[in-house]
Amino acid sequence: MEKINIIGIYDDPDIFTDAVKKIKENDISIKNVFSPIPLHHIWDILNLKTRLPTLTFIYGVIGVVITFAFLYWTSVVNYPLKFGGKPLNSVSFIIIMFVATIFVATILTFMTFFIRQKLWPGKKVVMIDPRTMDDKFAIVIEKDPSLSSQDIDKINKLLKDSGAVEINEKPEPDNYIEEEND
Amino acid sequence: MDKKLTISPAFKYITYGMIGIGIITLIFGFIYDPVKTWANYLVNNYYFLAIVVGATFFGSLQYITQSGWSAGFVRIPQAISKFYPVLFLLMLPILIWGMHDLFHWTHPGAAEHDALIAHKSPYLNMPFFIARYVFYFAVWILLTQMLRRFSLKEDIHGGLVYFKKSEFWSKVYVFSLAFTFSAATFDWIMSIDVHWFSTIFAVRNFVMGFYHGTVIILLIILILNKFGYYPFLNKYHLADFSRYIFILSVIWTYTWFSQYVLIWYANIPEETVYYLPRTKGEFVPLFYLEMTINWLVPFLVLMSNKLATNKTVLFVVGIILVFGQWIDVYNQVIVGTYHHLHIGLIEAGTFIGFIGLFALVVAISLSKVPLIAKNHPYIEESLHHHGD
Amino acid sequence: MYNIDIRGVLVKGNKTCAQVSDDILRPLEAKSPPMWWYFAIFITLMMIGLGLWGIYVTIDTGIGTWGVNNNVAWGFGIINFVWWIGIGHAGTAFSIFLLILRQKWRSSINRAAEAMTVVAVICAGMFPMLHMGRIWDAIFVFPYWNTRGPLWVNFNSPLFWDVVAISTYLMASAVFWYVGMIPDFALIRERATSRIKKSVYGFLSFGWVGTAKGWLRFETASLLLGGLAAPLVIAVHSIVSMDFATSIVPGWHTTIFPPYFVIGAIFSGFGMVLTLMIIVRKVFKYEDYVTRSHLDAIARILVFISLIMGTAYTTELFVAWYSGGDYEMFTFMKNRVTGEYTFAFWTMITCNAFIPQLFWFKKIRSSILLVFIISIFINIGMWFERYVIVVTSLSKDFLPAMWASYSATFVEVSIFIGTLGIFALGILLFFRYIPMIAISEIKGILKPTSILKNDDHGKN
Repeated sequence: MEKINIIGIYDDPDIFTDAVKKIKENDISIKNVFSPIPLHHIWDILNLKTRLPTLTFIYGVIGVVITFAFLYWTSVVNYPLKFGGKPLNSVSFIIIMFVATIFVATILTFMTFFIRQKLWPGKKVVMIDPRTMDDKFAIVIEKDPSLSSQDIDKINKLLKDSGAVEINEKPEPDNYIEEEND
Repeated sequence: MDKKLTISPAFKYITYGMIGIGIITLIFGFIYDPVKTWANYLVNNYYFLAIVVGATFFGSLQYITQSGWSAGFVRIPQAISKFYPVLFLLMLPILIWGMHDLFHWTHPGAAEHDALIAHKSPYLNMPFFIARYVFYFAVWILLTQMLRRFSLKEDIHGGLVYFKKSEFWSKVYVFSLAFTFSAATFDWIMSIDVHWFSTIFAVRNFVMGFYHGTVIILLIILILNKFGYYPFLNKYHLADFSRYIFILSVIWTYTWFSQYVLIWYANIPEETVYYLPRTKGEFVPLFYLEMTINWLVPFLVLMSNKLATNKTVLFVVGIILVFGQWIDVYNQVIVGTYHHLHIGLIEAGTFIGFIGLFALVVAISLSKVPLIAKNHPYIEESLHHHGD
Repeated sequence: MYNIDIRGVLVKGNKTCAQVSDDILRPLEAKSPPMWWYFAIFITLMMIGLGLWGIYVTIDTGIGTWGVNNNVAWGFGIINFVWWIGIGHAGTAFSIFLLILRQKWRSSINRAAEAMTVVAVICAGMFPMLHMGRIWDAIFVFPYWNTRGPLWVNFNSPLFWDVVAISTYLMASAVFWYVGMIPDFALIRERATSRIKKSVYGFLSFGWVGTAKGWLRFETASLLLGGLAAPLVIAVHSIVSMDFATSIVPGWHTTIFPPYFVIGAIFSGFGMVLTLMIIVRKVFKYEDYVTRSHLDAIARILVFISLIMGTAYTTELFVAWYSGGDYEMFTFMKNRVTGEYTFAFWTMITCNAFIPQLFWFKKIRSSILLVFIISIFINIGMWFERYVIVVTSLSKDFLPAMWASYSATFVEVSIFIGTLGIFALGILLFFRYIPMIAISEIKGILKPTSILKNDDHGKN
């Protein structure tokens, strides 16, 4: 069945933030919001969280362990050769460990980012409203069949009152992929 | 806005008491173990010198980078700068009575038997040493008091004139610090181990001061906030402070490690002589403790954004770092002067006395002027700081 | 709350977001690039051709075609390597350190600086490989499982640290740069009218749509990588400095080298950024985005870095005397301050410690031409610094019987010119096909920092 979306278009980040807040307060389920720039307050309003920092920390720990294990194994176990009067298990390992840890953490963090956000080269997407890439801010509310016409009027009124410059009611594009907000 | 700090009598009595403990310890110490006491006296003097330099540098940096978020707190580095004249006086006893116990190169006849001391004598001699000491303090006191006055005048007259002046003279101050503080660390700390040398020494000590000076500023803000001052302090300010502390702890570790690893790697006797007593023998625990406290604690704790904006956590970390800097300075001074690790009453008493004096001087100079520079052009950015 | 009255606006002309996109994408969306662009491409290709010839001769005949000898074993190859790596530090320095210091003006410049980083690191990486002489064995520098018995690289060698550091840095800065561009690619994808463009930029944009959750992850990931890259950038140049400082060669073994190299790198990176941005804003008419106050801010930072450089030079000279070491004294006083390499030494001092001090004067900072000239001097000065370090210490060390001089041959110079060509070509292509200013970041700061309120300013 074809889905219909109500799309409120705004052209100012601050007005948009307030609008999202207001709509959220009125218990209207927001399907998604699109903006050309990151809006920090929206994350609080929509209660969005990310566990990426924790993961990066874990990756860092993994990096330290792997690098040290590798250096220890090669220089002390597998090929114990003294040079320059330095001990086999040397202080200067810290330097390689430091850089290699950053290497591991960086790569894994970005792999995680791409995988969680489902981004890959050549992914085809259709946008609900292409102008949100440029200078418009959009809030998308799904026009669920269960919604009564009163509800819809309320949504429209809320959008209008909160400063929407346009309110469009459009069927969802065919190839549209919804991004899950998990 | 014009709220001033009121010093409670209790605070005054506590600091008097601390200063009293310090004085008694010193008198007692000079009678029983003068070398150890002088060494401790220098440790504390230098400890607070580094903090004052670091804190005032922090203040100047805010002007130079035109940072808005910190504009509400400019009074704190300015108050800390009032400790310069006190330090000038505190250094005097060392110059008059303490040099022999602390600096091997001042011994009469040292130059005759030691080619290196003879070589260095054009730089390391008493008249030049004293002249430099007067010069450094003259420059520092002059410039920091000038900066303080500009900020106070700005309170009355407003406008941008004083801000522009502050920015310009902040630059001059930072320029003068680069050379004067470098030379001062060479004079007062590096020349203890008179045969040894390291080019990174000044940088390392400067970073130490900047790092712990920032910590002290944050501690003062937290304490004042506890008593109801600086009501606008929010988590974004704290996040900015912890970001500074986090980065500076990493940079401190970096300079520490650069010095150590290069000397370890090249393994030249002229240089390893410095690390030998520190890494072998009784000073070993302090060597590792220094690294743990100054690097690992802030690194692990402040990495989490939640902990980094928590006042209690920051306060605890700050207090730990106060001791971290003490160990750092202690390691630099005691090994070359007293030669033994023995932390007891003299160490504790002297440190308490200096803390009391520092707290009193800073509190008095804070109480004389409004706590908030109301005409600072970026004051609004600081009062309503929201993180972007 | 951003106080634009004192700081000045960051984007001039009261622009809206749509205007920002139009302005920045104009060179990209132009039908064909202007004539000078083709001409510049032609010149860079000539330079690269010369460089390829130098590389061919080096590989075909051998390292003997260079001016290096048994004593001065490191010549142009290492000088240029360090010089390029230094320039490559600008991107990360801009993105990270200015972020920490809350300098909003970095937004118009960081993309270009990051692009510069990537190209400069590629240029840098070529030199050590060529210097190996047998470039086909370059793979041996990596620690990989091999059939030569248990045989691993020397993990205690600073040269191996270099391999790890440079590859990590190249990877991290390239990823950081690319990820930052994803939203801008998505914007081009949506604006593109031609099918080819749409599919190419669509491919590059990874299917970015700009949801709130997406932005949250994007910002978090960028910040995390920034946090990781900040220590990395310091580590990379410190490791480069350890190539010298872990030895016992007089003039090389000095503990200040790691921070001194890092600062020097940031210095040359900022110098190169300044040079480039002055050209770019003129040629692409980006004066509204890279304003005079941007250039002013860079110039003011350069005064400080120049001060630190000056302090480091002074400290080195002072400690050379203070240490009482004869060899140190000789290297600094007889072989740098005076002696065979006086010219290089004083060029370095003049260009790095003295000339940038002219930026104290507002008159000089506000003259674009003078700023441009001084930025060129900084690039030259930083090149000579590496020359002084590499050549003087090696040419005359402990045994006078082993002294030797060094002068570069044409082959070495042509490889250097070749890398300059690669750098210029990379930059030219980048300006044509990739948005030169981070559009989404500019839009993010636009409202608080640049749009003048009508009631305050619109009257006149």
